[in-house]
Amino acid sequence: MKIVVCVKQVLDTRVPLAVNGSVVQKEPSPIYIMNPADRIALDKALEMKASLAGEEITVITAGPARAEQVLHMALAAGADEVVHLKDEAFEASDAYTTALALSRVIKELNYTMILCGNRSLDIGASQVPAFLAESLGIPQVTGVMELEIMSPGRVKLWRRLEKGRRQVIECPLPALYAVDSSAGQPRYVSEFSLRQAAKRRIRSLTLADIGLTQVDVGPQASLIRVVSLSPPKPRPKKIYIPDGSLSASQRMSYLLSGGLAKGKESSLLEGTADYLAEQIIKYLIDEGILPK
Amino acid sequence: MTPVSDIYWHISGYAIFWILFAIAFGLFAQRVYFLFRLLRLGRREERSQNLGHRIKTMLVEVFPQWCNLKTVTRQDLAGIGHSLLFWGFGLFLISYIIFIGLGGGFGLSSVLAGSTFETAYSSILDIAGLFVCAAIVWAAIRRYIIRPERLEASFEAGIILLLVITLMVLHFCIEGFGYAAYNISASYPPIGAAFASFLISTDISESTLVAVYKGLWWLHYAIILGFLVYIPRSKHLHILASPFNVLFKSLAPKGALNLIDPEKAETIGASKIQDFTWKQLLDLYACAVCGRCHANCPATLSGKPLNPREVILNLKDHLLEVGPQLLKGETPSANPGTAMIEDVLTEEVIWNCTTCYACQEVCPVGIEHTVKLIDMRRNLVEHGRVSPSVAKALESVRLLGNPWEQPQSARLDWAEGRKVNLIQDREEVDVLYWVGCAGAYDPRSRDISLAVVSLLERAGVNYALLGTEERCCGDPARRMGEEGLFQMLARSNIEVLKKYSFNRILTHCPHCYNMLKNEYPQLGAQFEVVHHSQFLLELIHSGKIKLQERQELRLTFHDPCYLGRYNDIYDPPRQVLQAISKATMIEMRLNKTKAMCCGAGGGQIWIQSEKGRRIEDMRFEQIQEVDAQVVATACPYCTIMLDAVAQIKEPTGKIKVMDIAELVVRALAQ
Ligand code: SF4
Ligand code: SF4
Repeated sequence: MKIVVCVKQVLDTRVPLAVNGSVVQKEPSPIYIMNPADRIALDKALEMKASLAGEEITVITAGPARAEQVLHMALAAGADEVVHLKDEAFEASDAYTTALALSRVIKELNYTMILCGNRSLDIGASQVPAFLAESLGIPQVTGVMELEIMSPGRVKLWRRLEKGRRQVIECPLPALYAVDSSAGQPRYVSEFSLRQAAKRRIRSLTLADIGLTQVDVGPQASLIRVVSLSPPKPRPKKIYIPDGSLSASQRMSYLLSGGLAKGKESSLLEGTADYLAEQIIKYLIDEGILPK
Repeated sequence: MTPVSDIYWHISGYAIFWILFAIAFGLFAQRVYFLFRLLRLGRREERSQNLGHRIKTMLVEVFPQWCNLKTVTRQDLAGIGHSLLFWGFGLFLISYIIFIGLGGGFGLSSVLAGSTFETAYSSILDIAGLFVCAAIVWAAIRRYIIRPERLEASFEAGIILLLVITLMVLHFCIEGFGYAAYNISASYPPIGAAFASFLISTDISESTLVAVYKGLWWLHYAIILGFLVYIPRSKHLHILASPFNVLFKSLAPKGALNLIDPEKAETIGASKIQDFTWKQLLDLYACAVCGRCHANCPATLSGKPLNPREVILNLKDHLLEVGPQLLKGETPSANPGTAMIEDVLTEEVIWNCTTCYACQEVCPVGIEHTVKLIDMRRNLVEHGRVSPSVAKALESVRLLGNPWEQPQSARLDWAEGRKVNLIQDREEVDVLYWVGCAGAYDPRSRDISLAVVSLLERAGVNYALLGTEERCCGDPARRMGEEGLFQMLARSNIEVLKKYSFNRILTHCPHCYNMLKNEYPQLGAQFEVVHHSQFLLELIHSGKIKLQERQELRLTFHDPCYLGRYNDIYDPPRQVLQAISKATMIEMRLNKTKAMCCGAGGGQIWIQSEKGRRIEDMRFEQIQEVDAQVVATACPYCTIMLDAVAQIKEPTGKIKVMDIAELVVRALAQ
């Protein structure tokens, strides 16, 4: 079974950004990363590979020369093969043209499953997976949190809905699944393996190789045009309050960010079993989980 | 006259002597050879350079028992007992070779009998025997009655105590019965001779005396041989292994980790017992199960699963368990339940260590706990088996050059609005001030950087900063097992540093200090590095910094691990404090070599072990025990950790956490 994972190189948003015609980093040399949701998708593919024999992972990106970095990352993480659809014009392509180009490459790959990130960190339109599935004529499932191969050709998927709800569905293969960025924590890739991967070959394709020309990609071919970009409204600064329940590094994050949103509140109850049961039921009713 | 020269049931005593000896020695040698072969399963490691120096160290550490005596405190006198046992029993061992081996086995007893040498040596043994008995009784009382936290009354410990005391009693009995049987009256050896005259005064027949003497002699011999067989098969293997462990101990700076060459290394770090070097395996044999390490380990004390003694013992049991299969060339890792990481030591244990070095500092036999734990971390990192918080910190270091997820361009933000010297604008400077990531980004630590800069300016030092060219020194990455990242950072920092001309590097961070001074040389870069505690002291002594008249300030000092234990810098920060306050420095219960870690080192600030208590909370309670107004420290991590606790536990500011530089700034003469 062959899994194709589509990945994108995006700007690291930990570095302050500025809007100046386009989004730029306020850093002398820009720092790029693999789109977080794509990385989780790759991790899901790697997990499947670890638990099932005979899996093969191909990672593909459409992007300028510098996007090679994310493919090296994919190789270091454990991908078997990587494909770079290389053209500077992809920088300014919209989701439709990108998906079209990707579909041309993937068609030739003899795939069983395609994994994408649900959403990119930069544009966040969540459209590439949909266009791609459509042009390949296969089903797509978005917002995937978990997936499990039930029998050859059938996959069970858990989709993310609101308020922690999940939809469980089954879907036949071949299909495209768009993985949510919160479906996992990125698995660490060590510097030694990155260095090792940097020496490996990347299969690189040009537009001509897939039967396209300059007019098929880039702004002129795009259906969507970005009219303007503006910086976000400044958020009100939260006040740092020392809190004994946080660890030192969490307190650090607080201080550095001028107050992060605190995670879920937890409270510890003590008392008799009856009292505790009562409190739990009260909580469930208050939260709307149990009917009144 | 030893009973060896007699005939027993038509068999020569000599034959019995040597046959017994051959059996015992054979069993001893077989076991030792097996243990030796297990060591050779380990990877290669060069530990024989500077042999002369090594031998000298061993002689100094082992024979005078400095290894034990150095850890003696008023609360823990056990080292004295061990030394008495060591010396006393050592004398007995020599006597066994002379009197039993040469005298009995080689039939030289007639030469020795009655000689001044014999009388003198036996007299010494009598006294030594008393000391040994006293030490044994003391050891037994400690194990079975007092039961200090670091010791457990194990069965094996009981056996050895019993064996040794039996040997001592037999020694006195054999002397007594022997002298009495042959009717020798002498006044030396004191106990033996006195016992003999007592026996003679009773009406025990001579033949009984002779028979008892012979019986006891052979029993004595059998026990000694039993000892020989038992030692390499028991926890008392340390008797054989620890002198070698001291001989081969690391000559590198304390706690320094070995450099991995990814091109040459078969695997990165250790996931299997044979991934350790032979010296790391020898460590396992050398452990005396004394428990000093875990009694000082902040992770153990705070109730986390890590216990450094158990790490060593579990690894030893594991080696002995899977060793035979490995020697046969089989792979035991295929068997369930024998994976070193997970079954023998859990990942959690491996990540609990703060690399505070407290265990290694007190270990009497020079065992290297941190090296093993970090070697296992290296393997985990290589396979991506790290917690999300560690992954985040490491990725931040790789992409952004610091673990705080802050942009490189903001590295100089702490100095905003004030003039600082940048090395890029200078031809040559005396002091390059290395700020470090905490000093650059962490709001609390930025105050330390500002304090240092203002002192440098006040003292008119020709200094400069690297500014945005400085990147993380690599300490968090290396201690979290990300060796590749450390090497990448170190190489890029070295490249930057070599571009500029300066005399020495000043840093207020002990982690940076340790890296730049002790671990960058592994990559071929030698810098003169000075910690701000030393540098400030210099400035005060040379009069470049003038202080107000000393105040009455009740100060205590929290020793940072990487300044104290790693680099033996205990006094300079204290002297700086003394220049500020005329009140006597207050020492905490755990200070200097025994100071408790703040809980941040070894990447622990990002690892965030959740089990047990917070180490920083425990340390703060120790601070609260003493009546100090200010707890001074000399490390940004310690300041971050302790100050965070202080804000909660002492919100009224009764105890302030300050870096020594901040204190010096406050004490400047107007
Ligand atoms: S270095 Fe410190 S935390 Fe780690 S095992 Fe030793 S004493 Fe415990
Ligand atoms: S490792 Fe060292 S300190 Fe710890 S129990 Fe063994 S000998 Fe004692």
